[in-house]
Amino acid sequence: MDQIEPDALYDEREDVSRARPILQGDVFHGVVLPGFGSEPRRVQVVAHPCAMRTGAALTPRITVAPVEPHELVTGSGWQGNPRIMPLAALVEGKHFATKFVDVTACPAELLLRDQRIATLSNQGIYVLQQRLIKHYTRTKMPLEALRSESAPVLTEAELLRDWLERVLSEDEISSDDALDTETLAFEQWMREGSPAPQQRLRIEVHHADVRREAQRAAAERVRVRKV
Amino acid sequence: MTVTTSGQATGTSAGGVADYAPSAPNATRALSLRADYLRTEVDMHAGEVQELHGEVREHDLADRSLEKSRKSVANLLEELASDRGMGWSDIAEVVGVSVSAVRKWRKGGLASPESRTRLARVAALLDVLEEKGVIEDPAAWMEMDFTLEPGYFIRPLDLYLEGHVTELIELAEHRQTTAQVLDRVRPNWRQSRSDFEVVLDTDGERSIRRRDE
Repeated sequence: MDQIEPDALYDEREDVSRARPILQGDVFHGVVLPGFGSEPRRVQVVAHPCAMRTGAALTPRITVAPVEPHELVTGSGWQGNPRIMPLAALVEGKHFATKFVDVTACPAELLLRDQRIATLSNQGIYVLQQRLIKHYTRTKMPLEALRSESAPVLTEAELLRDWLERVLSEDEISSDDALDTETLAFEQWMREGSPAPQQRLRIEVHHADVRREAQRAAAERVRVRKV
Repeated sequence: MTVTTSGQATGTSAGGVADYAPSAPNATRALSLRADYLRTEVDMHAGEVQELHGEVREHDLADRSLEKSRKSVANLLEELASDRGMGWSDIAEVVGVSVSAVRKWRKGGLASPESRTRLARVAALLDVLEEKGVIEDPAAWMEMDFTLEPGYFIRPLDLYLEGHVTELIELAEHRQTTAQVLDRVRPNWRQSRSDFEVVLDTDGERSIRRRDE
């Protein structure tokens, strides 16, 4: 299995943008997991991006796994621990790991944007997916295949974040309602037309074009909101 | 052996193979030697021309990069993300930083001179690829897997990250095939073929499956 250093693993730590949609690999703190006692825990979302939303809304429950302190995993340790996802230097330089054997369904309302403490880079998401596949099936999946498979959904997540940051003010981004409303507007745009932008994202040749169109549509949305 | 005169060597006589003028073998041999010499000359020059072409391309790209690097980092990002439609994750990968770092630069955060140079270089390359006229949307081309047999996942962006800029331009100009370029820059690329392929599934999303042999 592939190894990844903290600088490449994470996209954001501690200071996580509220405009980034909740995605596979996100780490939350202060979550009281049903069936795991009353102690607030750190958890990592392990659900595939395609399995955690119905339209723009999160599914009622999302699969997560508890994150616990763990010794730093180095070198061959990445090969020999398929039951965990190493999370080096996650909080204040301390090392943690996600325990796949304790995967459980977490009510989506417990995964609050303000309690998100880390997000993964795309490469980090592929490494997490690779370890999950190995854990459940003993199959080693190359990262390149995971990259190709995930390209449409991760591109859409990136477009949504761009849209929200472009359309909403800083104050609005701090409001869940404003983020949810604007997420719906984005989803509506993604499904308009034939073929709709969401359909066109299925082929990479259209990705650059859809990004340009999304920026123009977001600019138009800014104009409309001002009127 | 029948000897004929040159006037008879017209192909109309019934003399067959022997009906050649005595001077013909010498003329052919001379022509053959001349062709050998010219071919050798061309082969020798081809290498030199290719080398020179490569150097000129590097200078051209360096000049364009220098020109681009006069832009602010925010403007370079605007060009790459908004005009070209490049993804933030690809931009971050090209510069060697996180996506969040790139997003901060977009909002006025400070980038190192090395990062600015890397942004300028990829912006310059996209200009070159477009000017060659073969690639209509260079940012899209960079992120697409090459058209190879199922099980290969190699993009122009991967070659760029490995520093094979000249080879990308060769591809864009259709001077070499993808396989020829990969043979040169990744001699073992055929062994990287995965047992898996990515397909569009019945629910409209992509899936991974074991490929058929």
